[in-house]
Amino acid sequence: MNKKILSVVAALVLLSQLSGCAGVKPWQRDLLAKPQMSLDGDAIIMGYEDHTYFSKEASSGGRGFGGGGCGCN
Amino acid sequence: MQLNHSTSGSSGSRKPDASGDRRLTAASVAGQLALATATLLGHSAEAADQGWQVDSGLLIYQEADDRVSAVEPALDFVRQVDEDTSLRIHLVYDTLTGASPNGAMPANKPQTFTSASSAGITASSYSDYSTSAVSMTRSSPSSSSRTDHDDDDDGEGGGSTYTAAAGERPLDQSFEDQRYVVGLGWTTKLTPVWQASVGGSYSTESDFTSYSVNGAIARELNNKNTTLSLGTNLEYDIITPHGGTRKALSRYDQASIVSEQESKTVADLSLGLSQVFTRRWISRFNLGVSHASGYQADPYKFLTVAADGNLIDSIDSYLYLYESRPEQRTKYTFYWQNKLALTNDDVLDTSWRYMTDDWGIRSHTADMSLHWQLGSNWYLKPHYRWYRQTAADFYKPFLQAGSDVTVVGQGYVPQLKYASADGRLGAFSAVTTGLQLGYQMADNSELSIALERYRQIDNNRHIDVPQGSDLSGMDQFAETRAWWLRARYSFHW
Repeated sequence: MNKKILSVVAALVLLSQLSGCAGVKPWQRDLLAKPQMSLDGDAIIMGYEDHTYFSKEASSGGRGFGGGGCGCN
Repeated sequence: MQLNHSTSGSSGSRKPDASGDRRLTAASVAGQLALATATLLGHSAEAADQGWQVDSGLLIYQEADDRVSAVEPALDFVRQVDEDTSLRIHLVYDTLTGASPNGAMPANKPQTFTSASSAGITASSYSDYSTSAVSMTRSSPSSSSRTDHDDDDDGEGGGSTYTAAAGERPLDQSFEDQRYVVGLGWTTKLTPVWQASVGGSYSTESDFTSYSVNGAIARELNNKNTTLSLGTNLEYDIITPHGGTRKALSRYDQASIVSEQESKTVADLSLGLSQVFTRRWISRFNLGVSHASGYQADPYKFLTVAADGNLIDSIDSYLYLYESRPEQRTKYTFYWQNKLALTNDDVLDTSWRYMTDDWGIRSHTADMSLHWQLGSNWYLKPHYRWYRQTAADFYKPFLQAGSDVTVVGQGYVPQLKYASADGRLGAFSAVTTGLQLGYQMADNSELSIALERYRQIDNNRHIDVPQGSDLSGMDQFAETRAWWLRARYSFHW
């Protein structure tokens, strides 16, 4: 398990280094600035999703620390 | 770029580096004037932007077969305190009613149970559960246990016992609760490239109280094309089951109460990387580790014990044993999300999550939605989610006399340490399909409504039982089917 995690971390660091060369310039961020491109999405809807799935499945989190604060599981 | 780490998306939907552009395209004329004035005066757009950004929602949730239904209004307020700092307040109220599988197997003959709240009363000292928010319509459960209390508080009609007919899954009808959540968050830019956030949350329901604090730091790199973040969340839960905590694997009809209150701590650590790859593609990778320590069983769930597929007569009922789970659980999560702008307005959102833990559960979650802009105001968002998990090592639809439990006369000796028939720990797949319709108004407010459907598919290996026995032909897993309606209105206040 630890080896797997280390290799994923290494891959992520490598990826971040590689992508550093490319780079999107500030004036090319028109599409990224649109609300539908926001990675965070809508707080309310994400809260509902986390709560709904946490009450029915054994998995939680990933996107944030979802699932806490509920006695439903 | 925003901090990735937050409880239930607590960072909200704002992108500080993008919000200025968004307002320019969508704000009212007055807003644009204010923005222009602020810019001329040398202030940022955020500093000029007073007031609260409010996100309000309503969830109506219903499970099939008259199981759980819930109504959950929620409010989220974000205020830009100054150009670098924002404050967030999160409020949720949640009310639940309905029936929930009690863990026992359906059988070819009727089975009678005492509801969870009443079971506590009969099995422990009666400590004024009548005022509890979870008191159901219960009346005179066991006269012997209630003789020293008046019955004025009893619900009208109904009984403390419920009977599952032959072939029916036993469902405890007493599931009823209200939950209140208050969350606070504070995010600030420490330097042009470093951002920090701290927050806390409190939630309470009749038999469960949770406190949590979280903190995160994020660093922007590569001309803001890369964000690295590190976050942590610490949670402390207090569990006060109605009637107290039953001893693990103790007999349902003679439950041993071991305590009135249990607790659990959860510590989460998450490492995140978000990366802009192109003008149209942004990605996020999160690695998370979570360790939970303390009471993690469901205090109201138990398991059927069967001998060659037949129920076993016990003292006051058939033989059922309260479930037992390990007190430690460590899980690892990997999450990868992509946002891809297919056109200038249509955006595909895909994500994949892998989770593994030391209870033997592994899961995959694939999620896909498409923001499909229909015109200048309307959009549609179809959503598809696929989920699959393996069972916990100790998941069993029922216990078998002989291998799992040694039964001698009226006595029994468990041959295992942990066992649960809770379907949430079983092996299943689940599919969610949904459609959201949204309307974006000129003042940057938005109204949306979504309808979604969820269905589980049993993937467990079934235990063979002899033909003609009590459990013969019975479903060994309760598939959950549900639908929900979700409305959201966000506006500036």
